[in-house]
Amino acid sequence: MPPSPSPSPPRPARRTPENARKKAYKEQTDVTNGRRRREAQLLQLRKSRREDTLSKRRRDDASSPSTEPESDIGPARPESDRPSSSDPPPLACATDADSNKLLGIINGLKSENISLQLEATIKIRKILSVDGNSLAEEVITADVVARLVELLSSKKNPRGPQLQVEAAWALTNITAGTSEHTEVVTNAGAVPKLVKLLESPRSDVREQAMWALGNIAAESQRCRELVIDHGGLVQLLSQFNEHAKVSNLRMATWTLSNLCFGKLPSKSQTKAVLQILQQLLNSIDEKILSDTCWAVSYLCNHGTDEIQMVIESQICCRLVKLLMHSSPKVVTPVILALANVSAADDCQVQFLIDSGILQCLLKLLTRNYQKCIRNQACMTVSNICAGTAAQIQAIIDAKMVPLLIQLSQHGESDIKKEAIWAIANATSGGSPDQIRSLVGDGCIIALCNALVLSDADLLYACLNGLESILKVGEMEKMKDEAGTNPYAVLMEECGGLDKLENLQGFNNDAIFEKTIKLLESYWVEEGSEYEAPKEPSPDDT
Amino acid sequence: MAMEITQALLAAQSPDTQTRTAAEASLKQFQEQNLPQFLLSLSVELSNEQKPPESRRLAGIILKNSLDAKDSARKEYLTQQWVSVDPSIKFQIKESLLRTLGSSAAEARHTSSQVIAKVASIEIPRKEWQDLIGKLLGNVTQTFAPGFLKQATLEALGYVCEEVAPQDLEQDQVNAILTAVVQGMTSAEPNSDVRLAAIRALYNALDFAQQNFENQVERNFIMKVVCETAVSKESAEIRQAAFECLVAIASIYYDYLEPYMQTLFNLTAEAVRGDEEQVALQAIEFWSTLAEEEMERQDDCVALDELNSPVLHFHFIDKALESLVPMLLETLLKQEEDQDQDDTVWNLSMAGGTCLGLVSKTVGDKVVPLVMPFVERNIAKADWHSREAATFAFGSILEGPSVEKLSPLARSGFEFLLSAMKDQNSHVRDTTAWTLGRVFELVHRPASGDPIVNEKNLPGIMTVLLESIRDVPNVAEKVCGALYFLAQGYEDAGPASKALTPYYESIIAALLSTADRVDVSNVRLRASAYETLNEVVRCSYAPETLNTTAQLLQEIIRRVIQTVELQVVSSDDKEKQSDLQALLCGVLQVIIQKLGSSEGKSVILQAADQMMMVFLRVFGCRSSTVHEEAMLAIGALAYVTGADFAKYMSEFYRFLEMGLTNFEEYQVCSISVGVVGDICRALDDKILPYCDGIMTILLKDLSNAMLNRSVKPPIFSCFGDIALAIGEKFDKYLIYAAPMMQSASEMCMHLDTTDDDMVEYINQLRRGIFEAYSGMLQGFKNSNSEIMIPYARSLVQFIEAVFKDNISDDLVTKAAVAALGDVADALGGGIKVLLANSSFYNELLSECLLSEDYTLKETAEWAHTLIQHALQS
Repeated sequence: MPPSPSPSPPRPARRTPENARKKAYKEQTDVTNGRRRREAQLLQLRKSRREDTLSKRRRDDASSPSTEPESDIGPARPESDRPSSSDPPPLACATDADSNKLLGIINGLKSENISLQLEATIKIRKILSVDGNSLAEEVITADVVARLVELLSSKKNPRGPQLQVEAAWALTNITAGTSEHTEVVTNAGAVPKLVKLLESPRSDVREQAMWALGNIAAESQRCRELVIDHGGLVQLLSQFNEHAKVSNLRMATWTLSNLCFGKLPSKSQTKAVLQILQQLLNSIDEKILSDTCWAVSYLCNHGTDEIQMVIESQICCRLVKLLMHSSPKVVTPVILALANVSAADDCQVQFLIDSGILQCLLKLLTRNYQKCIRNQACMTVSNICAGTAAQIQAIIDAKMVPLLIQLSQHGESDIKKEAIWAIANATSGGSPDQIRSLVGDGCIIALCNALVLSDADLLYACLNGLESILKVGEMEKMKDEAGTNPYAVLMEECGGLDKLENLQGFNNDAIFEKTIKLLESYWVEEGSEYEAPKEPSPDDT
Repeated sequence: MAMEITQALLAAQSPDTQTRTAAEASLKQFQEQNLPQFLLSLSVELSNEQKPPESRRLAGIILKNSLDAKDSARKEYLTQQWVSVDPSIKFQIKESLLRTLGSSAAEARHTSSQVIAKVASIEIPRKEWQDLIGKLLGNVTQTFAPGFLKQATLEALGYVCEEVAPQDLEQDQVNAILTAVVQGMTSAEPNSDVRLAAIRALYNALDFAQQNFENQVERNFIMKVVCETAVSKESAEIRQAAFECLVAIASIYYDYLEPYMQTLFNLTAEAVRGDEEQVALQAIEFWSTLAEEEMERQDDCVALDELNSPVLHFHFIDKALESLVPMLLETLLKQEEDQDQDDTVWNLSMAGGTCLGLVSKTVGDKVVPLVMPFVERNIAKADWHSREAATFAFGSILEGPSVEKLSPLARSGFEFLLSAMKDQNSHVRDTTAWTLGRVFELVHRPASGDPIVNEKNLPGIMTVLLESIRDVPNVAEKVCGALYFLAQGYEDAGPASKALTPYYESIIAALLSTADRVDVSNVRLRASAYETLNEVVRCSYAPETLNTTAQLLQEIIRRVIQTVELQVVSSDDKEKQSDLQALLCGVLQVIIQKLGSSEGKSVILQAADQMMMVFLRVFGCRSSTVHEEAMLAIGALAYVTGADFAKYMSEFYRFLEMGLTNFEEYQVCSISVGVVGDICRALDDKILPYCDGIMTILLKDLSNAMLNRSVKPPIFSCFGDIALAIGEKFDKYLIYAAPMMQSASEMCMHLDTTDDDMVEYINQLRRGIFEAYSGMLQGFKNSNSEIMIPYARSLVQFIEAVFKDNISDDLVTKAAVAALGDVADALGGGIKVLLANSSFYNELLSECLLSEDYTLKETAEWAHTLIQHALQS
């Protein structure tokens, strides 16, 4: 038998049946739908509790080396530095550990014999990286953590550095856990000791300390300040020198970007950071470059002061160039940073234009980039369009207007909106000559088509743009023999007037008033709107 | 060969039970032994003019029920059954049905037109019975066809259009149907029965007329004929049917209405003012439908924000407002005595007021100045009709206009409304109480600086409400509603939150005694009283109401025990008992949640044994609605007790199992699945002893085709909950659960994404599947994560597919990103091979990192970090 076609879906009842209307009569639905509402509340509650449970589990090990169950490795450390590559598989140690064993480990930790200390620390580190919560929770006690912190500053001994790495490693794993875990570590005074380790002559020690500090800094603003207060930032910045290995630089950059996530306490610190970032922006390592750019974009998020310093550090030029980098991991933070800069004051925007940003944006918008990147690019353009007349001129000179008009008609919805913002901004702030040029490119139609949008702010911006255009049209009227406002005519022809009239029904006072103002100023009474305007009256002439 | 079954059909309707049972059994036997012959015999019986009407009627009914059923699984079964009948027998049956359309017995004609439509609903989508439409049209277009044949045929055409989807008919068939139908409607057709059948057929055919409405000439013609029919002098029934068509056109073909609106306004206005009620009601319905359509379009304009395909919106309601509102106000004065005590009444004033409410929601502020003069003119008149109409008008416009506009009006009229609660006419009091409720709900704004109810007038309000709650039942019900919204307003209302605290005890007492009223014939009052009680408790200011709520808890427990001890004799008793238990368990749930999350937790813990005992006894009464409410309450209780809930498990488990296996009442099943999740979170690994049983049932539910699909996504989420609770112990279920997840994720890829409901379902299913993976990955993470390796690849592929097909909402995307992070978290370096050669995850993450949804962004950051670490390891 041939396969039967699937039955067509039942059609929904079209008419609102009388009894449905009847229910609407003096309805008090909420009162009668109690059960559904209670169920919905419980569902909501359930959802958030499920999320809580999951995110608690996820926090347990997030972003830490202990998330790799099979290999007990740390960060991206060079093989030669790996102190424990020949260790037995960790599972055997962790799963067999019973409380007696744990007791033994803790005793080893507390002993004065460095070999025993080392052995115990390695075991603890492994428990933390592979075992389930139950054992880990027993290890993360104030006592053990305090001892681990002590071991960070072990005495001169050939095996001292190895012990330091292991202790720092164990602490790294703990700081990757819950906020409470991190707090145990910070309360034990780990931060100053870890900062001190950044002076170590051994790169593996420094790297592990940076990782732990990076984790701590990721926790909260308070933690970041703690690290900075103990001189962590200064020490971290000193890691960037000509002798540093790539792996060290990567780790340092990552840790630095974590510190930059929050506002830095002082301007001088921001400046110092920017100096380093400026150098790092020339790195050819993609990971370093990406983390550097994220650090810059975090800084730009903090406020206009930081943006001003970013500009003064003269990295904008480089950032603009990086817009053309081949990896989206780099381009994404860069465009985020530049979008922030472009929202700042006109002076700062001018820096960007002088650096040649417009040509880059043009490419980002026309080539096959991810939507989020194109969206930020378009937002940057619309910010620039909100600038001075000279800046609007730069947009026009860069031949960007036809592209914006095209995006405003056919772009994806977010990008479409940003393009309309750009056009509305440019027409609102443009000089008469610029407006004539913008009109020549087709801005009237673009703005008129946007009059059916529902975003009130954007609508208002469009109306502002149209108002500027119509004002310029009035000037043209003087030159025109027929005495008509050519732009008003254009608006009528493209259906803009109808859309404008429809806006009288839009539920927003500002828009309503603006609409009425436009209609009353540029179109005479309804009914005679297609005749030539009668003004100016004979008396005036 | 058809069998003679007349006797059996007649006997099956005998008043004598024994005869009837025997006949039913023999018919059933025939049906089971030889279905094709059975169906044929029925059709022959139906078509035979010599047979008694009773046997023909039953033959028709059985035939119809052999082709269609409400339940979709049953319908599918019947469809397959019909499809497999021998074609030559099907042919005979169909010919006999078509013949019956010409029968002299009206009932046989009617039945056969229905059966024809049922057959068509099976065959036409399969491209069979392609000559049906032609044959039916032949009957109608014959010049000398008898009226009753035309009437029955048009009826059949209408039913066929109702059963078949538009894409299943060819356009030329549609054209021919419309031509024939419209022809039948014109005044050229002398027989009014035919005209009525024609206009009703048109109603059903409208969905097919898309192309015809796009064509101006054809559209004009259809509209002209419908409008003429709407004023036809013949019968109100015909005019009513014509207005029903206009109502349907208003919603299907809104885009084309503009040129006809002036005419339509005149037509409806005349009908509302002068025609018989059944016609006038449809004329009002036209405007109600139009208002709803325009509201929907306004929402669409906001939601779509599409420049290139703007939704058409002509603002018809707005433009007609100045004439429309007075017309509706007039209808308000046409109330009937006691209409509020009779649930079956539907008259002009009710329809008019409801329409006014919709209009007000559509146009907002503009309606206010058009209605207020009417209110002021009538509110104090001697005739109660005027007073009621004025109040109803005011109450109807409280939703839509801005609070700024309404607030001064509500404020100045408020004292009057309170005094009107003592009006001598109960209808006026009913409407007044409803209006007060609307003011509390929509205009009051307790948290604002200048609320309508303040400490000065609150004592007076409470006096009136607590007195009026003892009024006749219909008024009391509206007063409950008013208290409900009054209380709701004070939820988290800042300093005003405590406003009702001084009245808390007396409100509770009043509601409890309202629930106990003996004069309650209508069950709604009791339900309203308890639901209002719930809202009052839920929104109360906890620190100050704790003791009273604790006392209420004991009172409710006492009441539940009473219901269990009630003597239950009839099924009616049983239903009453279970309805009451449902309401009471609802109150318990609200109290558990209210106290469990505050300093009242100890109250709940102390009463937990007692409550659990009560729930178990309620389960003993076995009724699905009680089951649901008690289940919900147990879910809430488990959160409060935490791991202590373990002590109830041995007794409770059997009922949980009952709920989980109840696939016929899928809501019971769904709620029970949710409760499993609640218990998992409460018990953690203490749930282990019950997991074998639970998992077995859940897996069975998933593969049960009869279970409503909406239960399946929560079952997947529940897998995740169980895995999180029992960790590595989940390993023995993995080999059963994971393949289910894989096949469900593949299935989602092949569902119809043009249907909004389906998209919603796909999203839910995907979220459920991701949650299942996340729970398992996190559950195994610290002990035995390698066990997930064989399933990780298909998860990653699933995430990629979901990312690429672009139908996901943010919640699904978030669940997908989270699951991606969980893979990295659990497998660490093991993900390198999974992510090698694929770049989608970077795109996915960078898109999410730019999201404005903070939680999505956060999840993406977390996943990003994990993946980076895993890849570098």
